[in-house]
Amino acid sequence: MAYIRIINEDEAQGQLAEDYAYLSYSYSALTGAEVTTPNVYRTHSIVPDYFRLSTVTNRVLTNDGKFDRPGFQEGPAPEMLVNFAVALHSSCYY
Amino acid sequence: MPQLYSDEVGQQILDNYQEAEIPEVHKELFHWAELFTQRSWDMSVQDLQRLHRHGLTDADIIGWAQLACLQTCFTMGAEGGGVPLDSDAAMQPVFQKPREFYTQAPEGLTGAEPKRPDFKTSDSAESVAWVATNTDSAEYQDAAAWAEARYGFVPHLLQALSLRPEFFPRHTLALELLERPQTESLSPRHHAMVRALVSTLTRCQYSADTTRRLVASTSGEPGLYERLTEDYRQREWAPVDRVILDFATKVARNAYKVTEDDAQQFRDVGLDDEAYVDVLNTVAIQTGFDRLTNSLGVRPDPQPLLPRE
Repeated sequence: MAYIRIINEDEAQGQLAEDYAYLSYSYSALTGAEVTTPNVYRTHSIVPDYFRLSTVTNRVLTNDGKFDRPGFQEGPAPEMLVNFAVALHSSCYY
Repeated sequence: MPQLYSDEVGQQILDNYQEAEIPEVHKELFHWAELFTQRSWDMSVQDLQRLHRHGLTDADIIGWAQLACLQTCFTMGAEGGGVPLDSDAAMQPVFQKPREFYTQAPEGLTGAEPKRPDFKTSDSAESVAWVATNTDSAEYQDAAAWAEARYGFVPHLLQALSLRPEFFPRHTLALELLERPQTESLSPRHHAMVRALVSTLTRCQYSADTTRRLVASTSGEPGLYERLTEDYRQREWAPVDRVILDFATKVARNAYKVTEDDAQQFRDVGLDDEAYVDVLNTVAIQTGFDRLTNSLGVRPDPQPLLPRE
């Protein structure tokens, strides 16, 4: 159970519903199977403007869900390692 | 997502990345990320030069800094909400440790006390940052026009990132969200106090003048900024002030230690979950930008980064 109240897809309306749909699409493209929006995003759902920021962040990171941004997975030091390294050094549970 | 390392090497990284069997440039990345995450105020132009010697360009480093800024926000949001992962198909705990491993850990796994007692001093007096700039791209021009209209000038932050403008849509939205609370549950005074406190914890010179002005304009209380930034813990505060400031400090320094009790403390002083999310995100966005500007040596703007009246 989350620490705070959250709004899930079935209650979401307007921009929040659109953002849920986009994130589900994006992560489905990543995993190759239809998945719901990851739970970590739901913290922000009761303040949709912050949920929107998470959605825009995903869009710039994945090139609108296409996962073809140059350098993210390729090169001598793939940028995806930065995400992993920051999580590691943040002692992030996720 | 491809797997870069075998499980064995992955475990070596978790144990001690410096000893892991990975390319030297990967070790440099892990070292840079450690500085960014845990003591960005100590980063210097020598840290960038060290990366240059491994063949990395300013554009590479700016890309890293922006990704690290985004990931800072993401991890703080993730830790702060305490959402479960049991039914999550797309994400699982990477490090395979229960949440209690972190919440019951001692202070200081990350975000230890700053070594320096004062604000970081930029040594990029002749340029906007330690990195090169290129303001020709359409993405930069769009962001510059947005900033001119909103602030009356183009902040050094955007100029410093101009070699890698693909993240600008996210940054401009984040800057807008930082300007004021996004709920009616959090007062502008409390929002400004959180921003000022966070920038003190990150020792971020870039944000200092902006947050000082914001505290003054929203509170009208002489000396409030000084009370916040000169060890607020030693001062007397109203219970609601204390809950917000203690929570902001915990998120900024040790987000992994946030528990359900933190949300309950908000409720105990009359704040709701919306206020909690507002504070959480304000801390996350401010911390991300502060670490970003610290890591690239972005010189403070000539005026506060506040929207025109």
